[in-house]
Amino acid sequence: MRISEAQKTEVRERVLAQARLLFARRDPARVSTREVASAARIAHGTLFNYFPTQEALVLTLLGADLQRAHARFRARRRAGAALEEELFALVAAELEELAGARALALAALSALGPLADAGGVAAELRARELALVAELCATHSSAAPPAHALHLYWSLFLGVLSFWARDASPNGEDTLALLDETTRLVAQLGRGTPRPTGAQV
Amino acid sequence: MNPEPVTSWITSFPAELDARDEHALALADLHERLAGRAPPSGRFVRMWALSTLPAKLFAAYSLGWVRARFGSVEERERARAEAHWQAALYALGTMGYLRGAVTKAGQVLASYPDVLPRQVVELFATLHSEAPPMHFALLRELVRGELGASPEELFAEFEPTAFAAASIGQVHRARLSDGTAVAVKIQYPGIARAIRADLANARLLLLPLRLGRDWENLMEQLTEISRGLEHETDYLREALWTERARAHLIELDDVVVPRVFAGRSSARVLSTELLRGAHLDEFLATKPAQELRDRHAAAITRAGFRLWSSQRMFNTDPGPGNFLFLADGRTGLLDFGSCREFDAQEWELMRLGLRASREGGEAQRESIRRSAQLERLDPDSPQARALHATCEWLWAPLRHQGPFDFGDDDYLAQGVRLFGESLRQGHTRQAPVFVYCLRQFFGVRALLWALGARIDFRAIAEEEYARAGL
Ligand SMILES: Nc1ncnc2c1ncn2[C@@H]1O[C@H](COP(=O)(O)OP(=O)(O)OP(=O)(O)O)[C@@H](O)[C@H]1O
Repeated sequence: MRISEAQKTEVRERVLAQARLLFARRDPARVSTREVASAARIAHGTLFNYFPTQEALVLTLLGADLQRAHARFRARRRAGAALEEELFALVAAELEELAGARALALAALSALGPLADAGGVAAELRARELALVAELCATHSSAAPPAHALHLYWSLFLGVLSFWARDASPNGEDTLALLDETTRLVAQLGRGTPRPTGAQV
Repeated sequence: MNPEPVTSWITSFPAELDARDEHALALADLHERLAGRAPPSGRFVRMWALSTLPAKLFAAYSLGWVRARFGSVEERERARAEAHWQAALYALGTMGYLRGAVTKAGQVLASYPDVLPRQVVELFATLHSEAPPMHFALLRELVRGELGASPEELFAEFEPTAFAAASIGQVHRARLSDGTAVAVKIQYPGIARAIRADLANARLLLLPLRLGRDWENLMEQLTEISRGLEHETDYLREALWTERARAHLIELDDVVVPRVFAGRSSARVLSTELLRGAHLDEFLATKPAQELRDRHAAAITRAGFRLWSSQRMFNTDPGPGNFLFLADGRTGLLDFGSCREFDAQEWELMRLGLRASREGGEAQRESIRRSAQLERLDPDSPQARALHATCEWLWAPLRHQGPFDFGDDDYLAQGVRLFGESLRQGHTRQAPVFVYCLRQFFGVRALLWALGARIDFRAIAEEEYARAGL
């Protein structure tokens, strides 16, 4: 039986919605694809047409959260803010969006690290984030940000995310301090600040 | 600034510890374990960290103090005490993020200007304005975490750039929806926990040292300092004290205590009514007339005596930053974060002091003996003579008929000399509450001196005592 594009989208959305509910209640690692399929009222086999792995499901949900966060960040951008503040505000908006989805973020982390597959959802997610960071850097500097700055941003971003997901400090104040430190570092690189003399290789 | 005397002090430290010494070993062990702690995250906590210079200055100062205390004992004994003290401070310096604590302690010590070299006093005075500012995106998250809503939601307007630095945070102008202008003080992330951890560690480190005869008393005094420091990180406590002070000073026409907006405040965020006025230096730069200076001085004095006699309450940290000189001639009182109330025992000591200031004689001898926590005190001993001289100095304005000239340089210099001498002679033993009483007395005297005040101190005090039935 052939199904229309509209039907496909509907099923996809239903799967995501059900998966989100299940992941909110339980550690995503402990939720099987079979459970997701049955909650979405589709055959287990059909699920794989939409999401080849459980990981893809997790990453898709995370990606949607981050996109909402990006929109929120853009709406809130403050005229006159320096690059460090913009980067901070970006990640803060993301963490705000992910507040109820710590387990999801943790589950996604291993799929986003440097050893992750180059293609697929993870790569898309990474590319979107870095494009936004590059855009921010460009508005604060005459030159495009050096590639290593973006690479470093990504590593630090994942580091902040994993710290945040486990941060037990009051109101996550330790995460805020770490994020402040991190975004200052990236902003320095993103502006293309020359290295201090003596450190040249 | 000429670093000479400081450097020579530092280099006069005894060399490495004797490794066979059991205390040294215990200390090294403790240090080892503490060093295994996770490094602090965040530049605010690192700002808090003991940068080496103030640490060394503090160590150097304390060393001088230890030497004075052990001046009469055997040389070997004294060297040992010095080595321990130095090791403890060194350990504190390398393990902790104690800069703030040391800074505060330094500010306390700086109340004795003659004891510390001028440079050290100046250094301490500049230290607390160094912390880097937080940008709005960070403030927003802090406020959201503390109050559950962002500054945009809580305030009709919020200035993203701070207008003043606080000791462990910064202060922003904002406006409530009804138009009221407010000052919002926001604390650096993680700083309160860092302070608490450091204080606990400091205690652990100092505990095994037991430096001689007045050790228990010294520890009590340190406890007092720790307690004060911890209190200053709790803005809810500050809010309560501010409201209490406001309620009891509201009748004084010349004094303004800002209202607290409790719904916009928490342990790390404090919103108060914004007062518009000049700080002491700005005020003095306008060359105000004697009359105006006296008016402010009288207001400050009366407010102090009112809280003291009717509430048994006093501000332990009357730094010049906590007074605002308003254009209409009133005085704004800020920062009740370091207020403290006397307990029954301390209050009895205060009452005794009050009686002593009025009667002198036997009451004065008794007051001094008990304040120094001594069983008996030979009235002809150097210690008794020093303490009596200090009391005479402190109480002179209370015993003087008519306006007292606080601007008299000789009067201030004499006080500084007396305190310095009694410290150098090693008369540091005192009821713990005096750590702050002295800081307060000195803070206020220094302020009145700067104002060149000529006010009837005694009349104000007696009026306020009478009001409270004292
Ligand atoms: N209600 C207010 N109206 C006007 N200015 C204020 C107000 N509250 C705070 N400020 C400004 O902020 C500065 C610091 O505030 P405050 O003294 O409360 O902070 P703090 O952390 O206690 O600092 P410190 O320990 O150095 O006194 C004040 O000196 C003053 O300039």
